Amino acid sequence: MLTLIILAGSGAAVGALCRFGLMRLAQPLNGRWPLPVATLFINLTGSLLLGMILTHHLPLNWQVFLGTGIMGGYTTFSTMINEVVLLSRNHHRQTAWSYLGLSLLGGLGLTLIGTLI
Amino acid sequence: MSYLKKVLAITVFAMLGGGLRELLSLIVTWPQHFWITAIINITGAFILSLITGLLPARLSLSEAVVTGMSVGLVGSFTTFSTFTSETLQLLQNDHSVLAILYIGVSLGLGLLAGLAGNLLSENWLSGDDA
Repeated sequence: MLTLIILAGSGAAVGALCRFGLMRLAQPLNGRWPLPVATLFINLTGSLLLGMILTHHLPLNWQVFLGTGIMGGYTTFSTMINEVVLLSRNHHRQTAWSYLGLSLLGGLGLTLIGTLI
Repeated sequence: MSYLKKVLAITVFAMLGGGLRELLSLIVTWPQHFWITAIINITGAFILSLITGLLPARLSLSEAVVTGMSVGLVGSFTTFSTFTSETLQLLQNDHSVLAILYIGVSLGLGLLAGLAGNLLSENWLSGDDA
């Protein structure tokens, strides 16, 4: 059990650093659109990659490190929710709903595509 | 230097967040195991709005620690990809009602939790000014 927790934790660190790096790279885009493109990109690519990982039925240790760890740490639910809340409270209600819809439907579609690749 | 500190803080906090998510997932033996992801994601949405809104104003924490806690700890504790893959599995196994319930609870309660944390931070902070 401890091995799995350590594997998930170290994977999550790798994933979170990738997410942080991408967010910093995308900083110049922040003012351009109200849509949080960085988080959207991260959650959509993460969904695609997790689909690919799950479909390969890897040994448990690898599945936990790559799937639960790296992809779980790379993608984030809490940031998306808080962005939706802030958008909607700052009078961008339509953008907020589009963002939520794009994340959900895009995420589901790309996970499916991932399992087919 | 501040960049390096942030990277270090994110690494340490993300290990805790990801490890805790795996620990909870291992402990829980519910037949509908995916509900633990919903609980994790909803709790995380609430905590993140407090961390970003309230914590830096109330406690004199360094920017690196706040980044570590928001991007690292809560960012890695919650997960979007597991949420979508579990939903897809439910849909593919003909549990469409359960899938819609899972989406509704995760997003609905998640948004309420995020909003609650947001309003709470705002109220507490405006209370300071008065």
